Amino acid sequence: MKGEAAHGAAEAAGGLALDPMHQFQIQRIIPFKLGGLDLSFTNSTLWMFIVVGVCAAFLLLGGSRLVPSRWQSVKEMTYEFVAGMMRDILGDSGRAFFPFVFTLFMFILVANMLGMVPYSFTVTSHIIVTFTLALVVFILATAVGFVKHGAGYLKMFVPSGVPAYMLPILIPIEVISYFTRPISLSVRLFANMMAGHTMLKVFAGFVVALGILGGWAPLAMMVALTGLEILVAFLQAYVFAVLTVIYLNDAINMHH
Amino acid sequence: MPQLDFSTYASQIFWLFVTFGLLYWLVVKKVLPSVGGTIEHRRARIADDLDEARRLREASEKALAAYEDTMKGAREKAHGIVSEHKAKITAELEAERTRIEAELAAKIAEAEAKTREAKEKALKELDGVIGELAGEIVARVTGDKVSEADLKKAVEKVLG
Repeated sequence: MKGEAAHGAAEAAGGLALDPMHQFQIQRIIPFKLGGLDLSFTNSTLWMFIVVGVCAAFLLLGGSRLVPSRWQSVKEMTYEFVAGMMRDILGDSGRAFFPFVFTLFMFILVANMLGMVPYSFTVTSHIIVTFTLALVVFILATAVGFVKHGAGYLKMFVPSGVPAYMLPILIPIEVISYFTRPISLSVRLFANMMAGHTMLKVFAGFVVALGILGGWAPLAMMVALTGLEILVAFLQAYVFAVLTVIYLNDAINMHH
Repeated sequence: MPQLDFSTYASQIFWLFVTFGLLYWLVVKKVLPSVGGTIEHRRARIADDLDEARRLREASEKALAAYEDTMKGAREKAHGIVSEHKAKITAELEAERTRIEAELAAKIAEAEAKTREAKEKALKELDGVIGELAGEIVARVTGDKVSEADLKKAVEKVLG
């Protein structure tokens, strides 16, 4: 209520939306309801499709020559980067999951990077998106663990080399740490994205507020922050992919 | 905070599955065959080329060894031919030399015999001339006639 008022005042004052949270607003473009569910095509949906489009353009164009062009080299480096990371952590046993991890990495990376474009929408700045992705990873890893080891996968929660009387304390801790995985995975990405973009927006507000005389200092800060945010955008995509592979590795190889 | 607006969750989850699924499908069907295939193809091609290069190098090394063998054989053969001919020529030369030397020795001996003969003949003739000359001298000095036989005896006695 208060926020609405402030928002309205700011807009009335300068015609500018200075509310740093405004950029995360979901707007319905094509309202659509199925059953009781609101499945409207929103700005978030639009940007999800743009992410897929950019990924597809990056990965499918650029040719596939024996001697690669520059574009093709970058494309192949991205591929080799994810493949190498998976090989290092998981070995050859996890080749089947490469398409999933690669898709995940590309989707998050491009979503994060597109979020850096002014006036764009950052798909990964919404907890429900990152949580859904993390939940998919969690369910996949758990399913793989049970398919591979059967009920033996429950040994995950029993740390080896620990005296028996410690187990009643340690097993609940292990269980909790296992089930908080999707939460930490999703909150890490979502919080990084939201915090970075909010901060950029706040500094951008300062630039406007201080005007042409005093606005240079926050502008310089914004330039530095933009660099940092691009690093964070890459890093968070990488961290998400690496943790996914580590969870899969735990499920497949179970050396806990 | 717009992130906590639960009314948008269904739409976001639904469209996330749609778009993520679409991208996953694209990756599996299109990207992996093209990018992964290209990388694999390139790796295989490089390995093949390296194998081919190794094979060619081995072949050239073999050819070089064969060439060196042939060269060694030819050199030995040439050496043999040269020494054989040398020996043959030396023998021929030796034979020719001994033949010529023998011929020369024969000629020398012949010439020496002829010389000796001439000398003896000359000496014999000289004996006669000396006898006559002595008879003449005796006749002039003494006025006596000395017989031929006496003269001869005397001359022979003097000359030995």
